[in-house]
Amino acid sequence: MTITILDLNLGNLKSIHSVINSLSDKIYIKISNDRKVIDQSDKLIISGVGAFDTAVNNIELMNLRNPLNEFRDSGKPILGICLGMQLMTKFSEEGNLNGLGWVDGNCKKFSGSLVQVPHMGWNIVDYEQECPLFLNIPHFTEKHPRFYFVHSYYVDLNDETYNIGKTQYGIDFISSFSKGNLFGVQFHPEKSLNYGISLFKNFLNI
Amino acid sequence: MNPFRIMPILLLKNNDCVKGERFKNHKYVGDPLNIVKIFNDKEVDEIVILDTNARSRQAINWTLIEKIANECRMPFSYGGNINNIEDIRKLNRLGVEKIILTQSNLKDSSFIKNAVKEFGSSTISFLLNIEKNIFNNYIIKDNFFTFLKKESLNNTLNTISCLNVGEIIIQLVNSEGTRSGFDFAVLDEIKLNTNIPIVLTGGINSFEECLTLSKNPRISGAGIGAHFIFYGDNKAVLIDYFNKDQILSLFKLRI
Repeated sequence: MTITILDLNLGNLKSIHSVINSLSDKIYIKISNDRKVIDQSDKLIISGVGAFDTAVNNIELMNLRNPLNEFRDSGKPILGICLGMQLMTKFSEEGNLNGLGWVDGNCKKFSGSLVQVPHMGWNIVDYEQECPLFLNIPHFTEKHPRFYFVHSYYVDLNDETYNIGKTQYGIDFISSFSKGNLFGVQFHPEKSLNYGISLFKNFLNI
Repeated sequence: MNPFRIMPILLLKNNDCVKGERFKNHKYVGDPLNIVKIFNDKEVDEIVILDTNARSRQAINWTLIEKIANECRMPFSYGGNINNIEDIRKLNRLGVEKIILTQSNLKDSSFIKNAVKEFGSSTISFLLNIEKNIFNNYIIKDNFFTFLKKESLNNTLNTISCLNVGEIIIQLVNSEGTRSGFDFAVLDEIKLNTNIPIVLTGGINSFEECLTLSKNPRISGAGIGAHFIFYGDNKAVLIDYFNKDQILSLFKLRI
């Protein structure tokens, strides 16, 4: 199996590489923004920490919009992490540019009058059993796993047919979604100990 | 309230973890990679590693940092001799989640602003060392403890928060490494105008002290060094962390 971690020059991708590498030595993991490498991969991970428009700009500058759309159309699994999840939406309140538009939704900012922004630290996810990412996931509380979050914006979906994971931070926001070959998580599974390791294992098995 | 974070603070000297008291008499306490593995198993929230070699302005130990980052399965913050954007970029790409800047970086505020702009505020933390003097005033100590700054604590905190860093770690030098208990009086002194997360460290010696700190919505976390490294009066090295029930109770308090 070949997995490509998309390199948009935004944030730490090495940690994702380390976790997946530790799970199997039969997987080829590449950190790349080369369209041929992306095209030939079995799975794609889009991750990032930083500004929405910077990420979109980098996608355009690297001529990646078409290759990414083709990968989405291929039906091969794509996991969006943090900014990567947000990029799958149409747009973000953070910026002015259009996201990939793969999911019918947009990104909103947490209200600073309700909660401290960014949302930083460990929090629990109330997931749906049908979502393959959470199969046999270890629990922190009786019913929920916990993951590490660091973000100021969250995804708001207009489509209720997605499998949703929710987290409470002032409001109940969508901390994960899945539909078809698209998977998005707002948290950082590569920084979430055994909970994140379990989630990556599930993604490898999809 | 933001979740309350409990973070072990480890000190590096060359390839070893060390610990002293009040930044003196550092003794060997273990191999950093072994200690990180233990903290992975103990489900630690995040880990802070400070390089004592920064005081002598030595270069960053890139090989060791890369190994630690590969091993670490939770967020990893690093503070050392960091004074240029390229080093931050390299650290980030190696897997360091947060870069900790310090007092010595304040002389070049444009560097801090550029770092926040390029990497985002959540990637840049700031460590401030303060000491209580004989008049019971909290004064700023620079990295090298060679001279004292006469700037007031709150003026310095406001200066730092205007640079939009993601969090400020305030370290109480008087109690560092002593396990003598946290100086809660400092909470009355912190009158920051902004909502920037504050982490406190210095002498914390029990879960109950963390519980007390976590009840204060202005405080986002506690840094603990000696209490997670030593056991007993003879300072036997025993790497430890709070148990799951304790972490769960802290979590429920803040939701």
